[in-house]
Amino acid sequence: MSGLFSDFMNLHAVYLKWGWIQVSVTNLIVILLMFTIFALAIFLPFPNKKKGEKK
Amino acid sequence: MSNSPKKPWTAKLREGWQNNLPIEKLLPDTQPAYVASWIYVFGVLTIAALGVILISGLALAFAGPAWYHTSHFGHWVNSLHFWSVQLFFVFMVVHLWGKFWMAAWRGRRLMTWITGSVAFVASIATAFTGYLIQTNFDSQWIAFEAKDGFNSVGIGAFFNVTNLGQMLLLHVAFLPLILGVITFIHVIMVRKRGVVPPIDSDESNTSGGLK
Repeated sequence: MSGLFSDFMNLHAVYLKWGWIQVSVTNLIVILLMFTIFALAIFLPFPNKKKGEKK
Repeated sequence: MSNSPKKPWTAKLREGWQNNLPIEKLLPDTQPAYVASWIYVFGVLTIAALGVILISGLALAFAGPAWYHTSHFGHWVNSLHFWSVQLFFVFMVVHLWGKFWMAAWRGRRLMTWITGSVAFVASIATAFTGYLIQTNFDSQWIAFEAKDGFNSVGIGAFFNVTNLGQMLLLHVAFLPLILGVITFIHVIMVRKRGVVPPIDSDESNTSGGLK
């Protein structure tokens, strides 16, 4: 395989360590992405919600 | 002796079903107003991703590795299966967080919460066995790392991650069946008890909801 994407995919995983906590950068990106999606799901307004509608 | 005829089991089953889960609850055409939030979308997104996983998985099972490892379309379906699993987990984790922070076991919804938790664990087992049957160096590496872990807790003889046949059958037959049944019960419980309201919401507020 060749190309930018496959070159990137064939790199060794980079790991971050804080004491006993160890996480790969890839997994950290996925976790942060899930936090972001969660926050957006909470705060973004839902379309077609009627004005003045009670919770 | 009573003269009333004894009800057959079919009538008992029908009446029990009608009392517990009437068709209006099973297939509603409106939702409570509080469902109008993005956080309530992630349950059905998870099921949609599961649908893609099952369909692409069936295609992979029928066509076999000689197809999905060598042809362009086979690679594409293989990737579709893999990436729909990634989305499945992202959606399920966001769904889990949302339900955890709104204490979704309130209002006699404990079984809904428990079946969801069991489905989460079953999904991890299914995904793990999926990684083991890729028949490439990645799966070989994962299997040989994992075997030490399973041997250390004494279950390596029963759950042998280096046994490709065992992992293949668990992944394509046993675990999807378990996951499918638990997910079905989970959805039925959601329909039976209703979608959990936010903590500060009035559960009876079903007017002006989504159509």
